[in-house]
Amino acid sequence: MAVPKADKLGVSVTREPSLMTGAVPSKDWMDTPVEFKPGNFCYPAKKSMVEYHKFPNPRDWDPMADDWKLPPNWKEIILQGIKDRLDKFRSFKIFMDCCVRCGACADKCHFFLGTGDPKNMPVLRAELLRSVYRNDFTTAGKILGRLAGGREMTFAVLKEWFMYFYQCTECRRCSVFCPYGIDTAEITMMGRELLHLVGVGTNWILEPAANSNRTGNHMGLQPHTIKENIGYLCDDIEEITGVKITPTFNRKGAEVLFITPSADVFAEPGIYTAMGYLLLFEHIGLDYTWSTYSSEGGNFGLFTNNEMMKKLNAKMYAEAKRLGVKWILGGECGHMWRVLHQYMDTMNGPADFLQVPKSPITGTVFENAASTKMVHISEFTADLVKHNKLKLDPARNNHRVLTFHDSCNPARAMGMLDEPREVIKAVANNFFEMPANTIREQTFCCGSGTGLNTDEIMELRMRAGLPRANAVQYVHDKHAVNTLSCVCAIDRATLLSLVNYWVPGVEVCGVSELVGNALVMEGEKERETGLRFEPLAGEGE
Amino acid sequence: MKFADFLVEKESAILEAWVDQVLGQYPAASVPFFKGGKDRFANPLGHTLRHGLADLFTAVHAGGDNQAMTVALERILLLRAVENLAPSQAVAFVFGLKQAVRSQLKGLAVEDLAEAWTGFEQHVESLALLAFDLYMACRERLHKTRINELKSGRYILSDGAVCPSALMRKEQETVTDLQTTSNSCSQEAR
Amino acid sequence: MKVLYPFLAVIAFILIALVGVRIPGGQNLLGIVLPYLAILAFTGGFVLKVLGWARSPVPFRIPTTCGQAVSLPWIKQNKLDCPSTFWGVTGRMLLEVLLFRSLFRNTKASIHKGPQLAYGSSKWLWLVGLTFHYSFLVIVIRHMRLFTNPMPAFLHALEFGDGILQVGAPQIYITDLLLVGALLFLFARRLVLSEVRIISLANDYFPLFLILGIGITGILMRYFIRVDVVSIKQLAVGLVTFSPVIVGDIGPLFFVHLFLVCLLLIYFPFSKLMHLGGVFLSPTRNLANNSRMKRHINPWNDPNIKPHSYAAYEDEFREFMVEAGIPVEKELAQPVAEEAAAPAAEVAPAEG
Repeated sequence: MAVPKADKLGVSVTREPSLMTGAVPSKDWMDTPVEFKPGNFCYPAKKSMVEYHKFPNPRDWDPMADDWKLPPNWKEIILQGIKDRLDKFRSFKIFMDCCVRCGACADKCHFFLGTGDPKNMPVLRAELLRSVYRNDFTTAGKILGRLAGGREMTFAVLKEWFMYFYQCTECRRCSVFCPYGIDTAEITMMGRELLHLVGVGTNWILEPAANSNRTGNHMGLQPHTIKENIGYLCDDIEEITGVKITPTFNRKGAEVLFITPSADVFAEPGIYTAMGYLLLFEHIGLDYTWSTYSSEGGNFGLFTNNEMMKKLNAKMYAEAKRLGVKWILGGECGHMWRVLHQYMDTMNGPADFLQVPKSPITGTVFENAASTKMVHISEFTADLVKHNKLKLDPARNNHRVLTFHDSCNPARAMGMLDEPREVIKAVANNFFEMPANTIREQTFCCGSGTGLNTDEIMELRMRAGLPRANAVQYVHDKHAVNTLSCVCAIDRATLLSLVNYWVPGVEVCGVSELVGNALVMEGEKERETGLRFEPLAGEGE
Repeated sequence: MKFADFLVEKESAILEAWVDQVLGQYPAASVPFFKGGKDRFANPLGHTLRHGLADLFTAVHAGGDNQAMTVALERILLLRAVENLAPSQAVAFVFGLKQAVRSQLKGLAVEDLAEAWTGFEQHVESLALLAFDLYMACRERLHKTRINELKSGRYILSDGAVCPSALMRKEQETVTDLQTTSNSCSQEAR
Repeated sequence: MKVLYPFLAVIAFILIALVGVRIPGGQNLLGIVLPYLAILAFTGGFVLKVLGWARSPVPFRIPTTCGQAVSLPWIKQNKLDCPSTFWGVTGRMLLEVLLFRSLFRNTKASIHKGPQLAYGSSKWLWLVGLTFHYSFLVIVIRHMRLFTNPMPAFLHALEFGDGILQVGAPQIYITDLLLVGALLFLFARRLVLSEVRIISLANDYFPLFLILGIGITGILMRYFIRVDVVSIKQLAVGLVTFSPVIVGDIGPLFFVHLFLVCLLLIYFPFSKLMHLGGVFLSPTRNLANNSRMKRHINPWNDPNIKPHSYAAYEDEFREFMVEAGIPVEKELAQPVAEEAAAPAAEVAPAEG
C-alpha cells in the first residue's frame, strides 16, 4: 500500500489553491484566477451607501457570484479612468513606466510576509494594473500584447484588483526600498478609484465616510453624544485624579481648535488617550475647543478617492474659520496625518485666516507647520516637555514596560519619528525599542490600515499583522514589554486585536495616555490607579 | 545503532524534510524565500515554522515533555489557525514527522526499531491530540478577539445604522442582564 | 517562453546583421543609415517620453520620508533621507542616482544575529546593479575615443585606469569583465530566485540579452577577432561630422555590434530602460518634505468640492445641540414653525 503524504491526511485533501487567496503558483501569475471565499474579502458597499455618495452603479452584489452586475460598458469606463488618471498624476504615469522588476520590494510587504501569496509582492500588485496599462497605453504592448507583459482588461483582472487592492494598507514600506521610489500606495489608490467608477467598493470604507460627511465623524456620533461621551471621560478623570475638567465644544474665539479621531472619544482603548489629551490641556491651561461638526481626524476619503478626501477634509478649515481660532491642534492618528501633512493645504488651503501656530505656553513657533497651521499633539507635547512646562511623575507609568510602534503614515509620509519617543522617555521609565528593521521608516504596518480593520477578514488581518506581532513578541520575551504604545487610532484598535491573538499579555495605548497618567495635576488627590483604573506599580496587589 | 541515536544523528535531515513538507503548502514561488530568509524579522513566517518545528522535534525525542511541546506547538498553530485551512489540514503537519523520520530510516539498520517506533508513534499521536487542542484554543482566541473588537465599541464603524447612544444604553442593559444572570447562576450553584 | 523568445529574438537580430553586411548596400544601411535613425529614435523617443511625464502634473507633495523630518529645533533632522530644502533634495537625488541609496538600504543589517541570506541577496543586488551601471557608463565613455581626434586627456586616463589590472597587449579592460559578469548575475538571479522569476517578463530578459550580445561582440572584436579599427574610427568620426564613409573591410562582427547598439537605442525609450529618466522625476523622491511649511499647488484642484456645510449640519442636529448646551448659530425656531423649516439637508441613509 502506498503511504499517503502527510499533507494529504486532512479531510480537505483537495489542496486548496493557496492557503488564502486562491493563487495556484504552478502557472504564470497572469493565468492564476482569484477565488473569493468567506473571510478573504471585505463586504461590498451597501446600495444605500453608494447612493449616498452619488457614486456610480449602486446595487446589491456579491463578490463570490459570477455576476457583479457591472455596467455594460465597464471596460471602457475603466480604461477611460486610467487615461484620466495618467493625465492627472505624474506619479501614476512614472510608476507605470519605470519598474524594472528588480524584486527589491518583494519581501518588504507585510501582506506578502504573512500570506506568502506572490500577488502580495508590491511589484506584482502593481503589475496587476501595469499589465493593463501596457496593453492599452504603450506602443510595445499594443503590438506585442502578452509578450510585452500586456494583458487585456477582463472580469478576471477586475476581480484580482478587488482582491489585492484591498490587501494593501498603503503603508509605503515598499516605497522606502524601491530604487525609483515607486509607491504602491499610489497604485492602490488609483486601483481603488478605478474600482469605484464601476461600483466596486467596500462597506467598511464607504459607510464611515458617509457618517463622517453627515455627522462629522466615522462613528456617526451626534453632537450631544460627543459631548456626553467626553463628559463620561471627565467623570472618570475626576474619579481617578480628583480634578474636575469641563471642556468646551464649538466655542467661538478659542485660541486652538482640537481635532482627533472620533474613536478616541468613543472606543477603547482610544478613550484613555482622549483622557490624556483632556488632562494635558487642563494642566497647561490651554484655551481650546472641541468641535462636533469637525469631530473626525481620520479621513476614509483617502481610501476612496481624492474628491472624497478633499470633501471630508474641508470641514477642518471650515470649522476653524467659523470658530475664529488661531490654529489647529491634531490628535494621534496615522492616516489623518498623511492627509493633513501631504494633502490638506494643497486641497483646501490656503489657511490665510489662521496664524502660524505658536505654543501659548512655551512661545515656540511651529515653523514646520507655517502654512498648513496644524500641529501634531506629539510635536506640541515634545515642546512642552523640552521646556519643562509639565509637572511629571514618570513613576506612575512604572507598571508599564513600553515599546513604540511607528505608525506607517507618521513615519513614512511625515517623518515624525523622534517626537513621540521624546515624549515617552519623559513620561515613562521603562522603554525598549523593537528591532531596527521593524521600526522608524522600516516600521511594519498593523496589517489593518486603509479601511481593512473589519472583522470579516480577521484571519487575513492576523496574518498581515504577523511581522509586527513577531517584533512585539521579541521585546515581550526579551524585555518583558507589556505595553505597545502608538500614535494612531486605527492602531489602537487593530494592534490590540493583533496582540490579543499573537502576544497575549501586551496592552496597547496611545502616547497621550501615558502623558495623562504621569501628569501631576494641580489640586489632585493621590492617584491609586492609572487612567484605565488599573493599579499602579507598588499600589494595590 | 539505537533509534534514539538515529534521531540525534539524523536530526537536521529529518527536520529539513519536515520543514519542506510544511512549507510545501505555500505558493511555490514564495517557498524558497520562506525557507531561505533566516532573519526573524524579515521572514517571520518562515522563522516561526522552522524554529517551531525544530523545538517540537527536540521536545519529542527528549521524551515528549508536555510543557515544551505545548510552547513549540502553539507558535505554529497560531499561524495555522488563521490560514483558512480545514482543521484537519491545519494539524496534519504533525504526522509529517513520521514520514520525515521514515524517509531517513531507509536503508539503515536500527537495532530496536520495532519497539522504539511504537514509542515514537505514541509521541506523535499525543502530539496530534495536543495540536488539536491548541488549534481549537487558537480559534477560540481569535473569536474572542473578534468579540472584544465588537464589544469595545469599534463595531460602531461597521454598522453606523444604529444610533450610538442607543447602542450604548443597550450594551449597558446587556451587561447588567449578564451580571444578573451570572449572579443568579452562581447563587444556584451554591 | 519569457526567456526563450527574447533570446531567440536577439539571435535573430544577430543573424539579420550577418546577412545584412553581405547584401549590396547593406553595409551602408547598417553602418550609416541605421545609426542615424537610432540616434534620432533614441533622442526623440526619450524627449517625448520625458515630456509626456512632465505633461502630467504633480498634484500632491508625496515624498516618502525615510528619516526624521524637520521639526522642533532640537530634534535632529535627517537632511538626506527626509529633506525639506532644495539642497537636501538634491543630495537625496544624488545619493539615489549615483549610489542607489534605496537599494542599499536593503542591507541595513538587523540587530539580530541570524545568517543573512535574505539580506545577502539584497546587498548583492545593490552591488551588482551599481557595478553594471558604472561599467556600462565607463564603456560608453571609453567609446568616445572613436569619435574624437585627438583624444582628450581624460579618456587616456580612463582607459589607463580601466586597464590597470594587466600589462600587455591587448590590455584587458576591467569594465568589460564586470559588465558581462554583472549581466550574467542579473540574468541568473531572475532564473534562480523564485520570487524574482515569477515577476520577470519577456521585457526584462530582452534588454539583458541585448546588452549581453553587445558586450560579447565587443569583447570578441577587441580580444579575439580583430577588426579594422582605423576604418571604424574613420566611420565614427564621419558619423559625427555628418560625412560618413565606409572604407576598407571592417569585418561583419563590427556591424553586428553596431546593429545591436542601434536596436538598444531604438528600444530604449519604449521600455523599462526609461527608468534612467524616470528616477529623476519620481515624486516620492524628488520633492522636499515641506508640505506643511509651504503650500503646494494642485493645478486641477476643484474648488467646487465643498464640505457638507456647517449650516446643514446644525439644521439637522440643532435641537440636540441646544438641549446639550452646545452653542448654535441659529437659535431654535418656534416648535410649530420648526417642522416646516425642517432642512432639506442631505440625510444619510444611516438614520440616528
